[in-house]
Amino acid sequence: MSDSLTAVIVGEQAALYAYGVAGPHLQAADRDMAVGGLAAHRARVLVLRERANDANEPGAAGGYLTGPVETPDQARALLAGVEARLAATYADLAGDCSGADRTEAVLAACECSARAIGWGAAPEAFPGR
Amino acid sequence: MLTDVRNVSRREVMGLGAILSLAACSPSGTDGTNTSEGTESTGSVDPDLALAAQVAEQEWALVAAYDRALQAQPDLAALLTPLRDQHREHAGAVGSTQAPAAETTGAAAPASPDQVVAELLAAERAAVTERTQVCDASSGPQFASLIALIAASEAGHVEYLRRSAP
Repeated sequence: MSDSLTAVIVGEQAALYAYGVAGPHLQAADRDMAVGGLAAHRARVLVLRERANDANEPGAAGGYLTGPVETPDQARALLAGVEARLAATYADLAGDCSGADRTEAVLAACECSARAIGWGAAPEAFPGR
Repeated sequence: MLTDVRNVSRREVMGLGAILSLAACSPSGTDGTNTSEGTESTGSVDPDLALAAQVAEQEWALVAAYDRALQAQPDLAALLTPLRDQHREHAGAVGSTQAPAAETTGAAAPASPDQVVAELLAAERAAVTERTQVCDASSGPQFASLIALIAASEAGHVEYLRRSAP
């Protein structure tokens, strides 16, 4: 299993954790976006785990340090940062694979980047870098 | 920090552009005639160079589109200027730091803010598709990653314009 695939799985698990932490603090207007993001990350990590098919596949970490998440703004900022970093991690993966896997990695990078903007990240020339 | 995912510095990203530009001898061309894609004659030429030139040309076309939009709607400067500048950074990252000579194409028809943003949205969407195709076709892993990240940036632009539409 390539390092970049491991990194994406780890990043997806972190994203799932972040949505869990942020969710209760988000405003009702953000509910659909949160549910959509969560569903997208769940679907991605399932596919990636199957692709990794490796006994050494990393398990989800027990917990993460996130800084304080107590307000809607803090919750959105957490998700914006996680999504932007995951976009960069998927871009790394795109370089390490080819064919349909590469196309899928680029698509995932684009989706993460768009969600980062949705959560309030400023546009970047090189998201997550 | 939430994740310990690899945190490659901006400098490293830009470094790839420097590598490419050394090898590419300004892919966007200074004589106005862009090298046609895929017709490199020498067998040892990096096949990604033609793709880099193609991306650079498209990035400068986006810069020009934003410049026209800013001319038509100066009030949108706060929204559009950062996005235009990021396309310059994209061009620089694939080795082209100088805009090709501007083609003068008559005065643009006056457009409403809605029209201006809608046209840029369409251009950004097309850019994401084009970057994805270039990424699929590229050989070097580093170059493919760079193009994937540029695609992600432009997908972010699409979302940003969509949400900020006047």
